[in-house]
Amino acid sequence: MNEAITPDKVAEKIGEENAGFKGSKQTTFAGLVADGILAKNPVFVLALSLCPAVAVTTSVKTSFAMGVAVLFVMSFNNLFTSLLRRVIHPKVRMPTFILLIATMVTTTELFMSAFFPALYQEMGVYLKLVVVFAIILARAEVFASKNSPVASFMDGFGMGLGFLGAMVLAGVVREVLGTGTFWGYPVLGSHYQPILMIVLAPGGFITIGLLIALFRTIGAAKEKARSNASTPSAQVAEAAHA
Amino acid sequence: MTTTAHSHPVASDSITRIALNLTVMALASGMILAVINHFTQPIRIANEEKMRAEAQRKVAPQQATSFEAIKGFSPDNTWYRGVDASGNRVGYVIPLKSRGYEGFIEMMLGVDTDHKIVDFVIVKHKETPGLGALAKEQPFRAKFVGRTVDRLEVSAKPEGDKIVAITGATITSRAVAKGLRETLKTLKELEADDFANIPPALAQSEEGHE
Repeated sequence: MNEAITPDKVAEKIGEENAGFKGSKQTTFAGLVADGILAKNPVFVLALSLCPAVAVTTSVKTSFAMGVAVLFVMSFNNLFTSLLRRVIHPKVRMPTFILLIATMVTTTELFMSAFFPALYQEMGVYLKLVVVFAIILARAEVFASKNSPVASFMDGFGMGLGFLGAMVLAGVVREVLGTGTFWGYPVLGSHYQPILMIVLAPGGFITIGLLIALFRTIGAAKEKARSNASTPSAQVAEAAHA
Repeated sequence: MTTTAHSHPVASDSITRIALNLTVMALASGMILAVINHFTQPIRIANEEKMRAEAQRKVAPQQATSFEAIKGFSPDNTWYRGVDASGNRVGYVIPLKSRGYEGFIEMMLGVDTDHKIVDFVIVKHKETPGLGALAKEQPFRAKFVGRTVDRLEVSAKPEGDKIVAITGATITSRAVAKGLRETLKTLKELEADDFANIPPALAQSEEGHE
């Protein structure tokens, strides 16, 4: 996990490991979900979908809503892509995948605007932009088009959870430091002078950057611990990320 | 993206087959969305109506117990008169919109009989979350309460009697103040002849309404 990982490299890498599920080294459904949350976290490890991660994480509420929307879209998009994988003509699979994603996103939009109009308003254009999330298309192409519906759903669910977690984490950091509130409620007292920059775009980049660095550090420590599991340093590393 | 060769049971490269595949998918997608829209649309409209009614009650002077629509306005742009329990006129509830940082900010303004602002709500907007979107929160709205048309200037820094803009969202703050200012001016003109001459822009539904 030390080298810089680009989407292309990821696709290449997971294409080679061919045990259990196609395109993943995991052999259980739980493993697929866990992979999405940690080892292949879309934002922190794969560094995908950073645009919405910066744009929407100004508050915990919008981050959470966005995360849930993506979780829903990814899980079901993977499921439907997998169900239709033998029907979709290979020559038009990209447009078809996008069409599927757009259908899922529009469904989410229709439901959100009906049941949570205020939240829908707050998310604005970013909910629509879920259609062009690289991570969703990538999972459809790399995983769902080659695996069973259940495995594909689990893969999407794990990736969605990873995205949701990353969004909420960034949202908490930015809202608490940037406005002194959590979910709209003041938590840091009136003496706290909010760091406005954190809720502005530059603060978004910095926050996400620091969180990625943190994730990498933990990942590296874990790797090290695994390689010399018998030595005492393993316990130190375990304690460090606990 | 990998370019793996897919094993395809009915793989035929004929253009009709490819086109048909995509067409069927698009048709199915359209049908699914139409069905979902059919069932969620009534809920959406009901919720919007509910929010509107709540907003109306929130911004109107406290004595107001009922609202009567003033005649002559277009249906989606109706001004209301607040009436108290004994039938006295106590103020107005006015919908308005103003061009913000991103698109229009749709608001609802409540004023008393002296045209002093009671409160306002932002019904719809596309402002930046965490910045311009703060305009609908209480701390910013509180700065407008009790102000009249001649006291609605916005300044980025504290300056005399001026309203202090939201940090990082001066454009939104100005847009809100401008919208309110212009509406109060219109109200003064219209009230002078008891709403006999409503300008065409308010009487007809606007084109390209968003």
